[in-house]
Amino acid sequence: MKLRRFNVLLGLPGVIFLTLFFLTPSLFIFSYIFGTRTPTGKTAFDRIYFDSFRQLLEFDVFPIIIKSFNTAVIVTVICLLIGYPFAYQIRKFSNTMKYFSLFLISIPFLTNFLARTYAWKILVSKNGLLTRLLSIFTNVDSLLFTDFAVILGMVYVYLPFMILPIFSSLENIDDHLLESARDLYANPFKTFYYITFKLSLPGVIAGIVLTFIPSLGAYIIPQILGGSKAMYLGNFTVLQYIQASNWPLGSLVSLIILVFMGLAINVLFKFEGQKNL
Amino acid sequence: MKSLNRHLGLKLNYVFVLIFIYLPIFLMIGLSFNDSKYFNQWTGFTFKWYRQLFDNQNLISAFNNSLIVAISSTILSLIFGFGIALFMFRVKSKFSKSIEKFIYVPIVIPDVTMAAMMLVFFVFLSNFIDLKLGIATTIISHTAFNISFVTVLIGSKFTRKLKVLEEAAADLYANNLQVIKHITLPFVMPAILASLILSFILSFDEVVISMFVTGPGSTTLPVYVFSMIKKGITPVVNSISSLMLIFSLILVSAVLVLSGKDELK
Repeated sequence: MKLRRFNVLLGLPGVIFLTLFFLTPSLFIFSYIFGTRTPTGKTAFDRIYFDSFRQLLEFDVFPIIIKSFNTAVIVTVICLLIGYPFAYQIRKFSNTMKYFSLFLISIPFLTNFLARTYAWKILVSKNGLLTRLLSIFTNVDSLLFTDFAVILGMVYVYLPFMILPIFSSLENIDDHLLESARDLYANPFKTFYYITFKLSLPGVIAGIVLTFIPSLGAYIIPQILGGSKAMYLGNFTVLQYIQASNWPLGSLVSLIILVFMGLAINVLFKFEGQKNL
Repeated sequence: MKSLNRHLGLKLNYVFVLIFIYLPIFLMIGLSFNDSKYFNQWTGFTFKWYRQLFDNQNLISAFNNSLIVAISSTILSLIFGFGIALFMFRVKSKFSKSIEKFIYVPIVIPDVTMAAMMLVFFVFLSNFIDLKLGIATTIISHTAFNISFVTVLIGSKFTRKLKVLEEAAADLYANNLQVIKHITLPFVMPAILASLILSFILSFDEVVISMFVTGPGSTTLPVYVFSMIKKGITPVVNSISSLMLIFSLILVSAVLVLSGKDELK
């Protein structure tokens, strides 16, 4: 009994900290939805307001939601299309090459994200390498501040989030399964579809969630590569908080991002559950 | 023939992805040594943009702020996170099960949302206590998300094997503190080191949350650099970005080596 109390005591400070500085703030943002912005920029709570919901229509937030959603879907699909073959290729390598490739792909996973987004800005700006390359085919002056640049930048930054989980589920596939499929005269496509692809699905789902969520709420990438006029959910939220001081609307939009996140994670856990059956 | 093409496609994709990832980085680092002010012409090798960094007083103080925030939040989140991980490992109850799920929320929550809720909360608090947005609020916010990373990372080392070892030590009349000191700590040491470096990097590179909860005079380095980047491409931004990148590169390599070593065991 004494030991149990000791163990609980160990966890207590951290739990209290998170309750105080994570759980409580998240409840605060809920309550701000029902406030209203006063002319001074402060938020009033003297009664329950629904101004933030009304402004959702007034300020044309729905097109922004749809645009962010579309962008996140496109980014996720591109990441999947180039990430899956990449993970598949690493899986086929011998050990040295495998770990070296994993090292190469893990580095951008954690190195300074701001610096990497900036590096990409150099490529797509006027006279940048990619701009010059593309100007051979079409008539472009600068790719900077276009949706195209934002999508490429997101693919660039979030690609490792797709590759790493797919690789780890591919790595867990037993080679014997592939051999027995071959022994039973399954052609390479059937073997790939029924064994490799189906068994890698948990990794694919994890990868999709891990690229989709940050793409949906992204702020830095649209700001640097899309310019200050490009409106995505993340930018819009920051705009409401910092420039417009409209905290109720900002809170509502960040709650919408949270709902999307919750849905995405729910899908992930559903698939995980099926895998265990 | 068909299968050869398929393999070729895979290899081409592999090379393409690596070029896609590393070309911008190398280009940026290369340009930071370019004597010309314009990034589309190379006029010679120079260190002058790096020297300019050290003359920029705002940049130096932003760097110092970042160091203070990163070190403090790393230490705090290690203490809190280690406690939670140990608690989840040793006490199996409904409460610890729900913490196990909750602990992922600060990891996956979009940074904009977390930034907004921290700002709202601190501003509310400042009505009652003497709290200004600044270094302290930044440290608290960074600790709030770092705890989760530490808990998950250290928690992954709390396995059945450790349980058996701990029980054996207890059977040999080791008391609680002795078990922690001689069994638990050495066993999870690699994970502790890895989470130390990881939370340092996460805090040091963080932009959006810092931007919201920091006050005038306590700007962190990424927030300062972000405002420079928004203005345009300049050689000074090339050099500071290269430095930040190389700095986190060294730390990440250390984490990978540490966790790799651990797997060999």
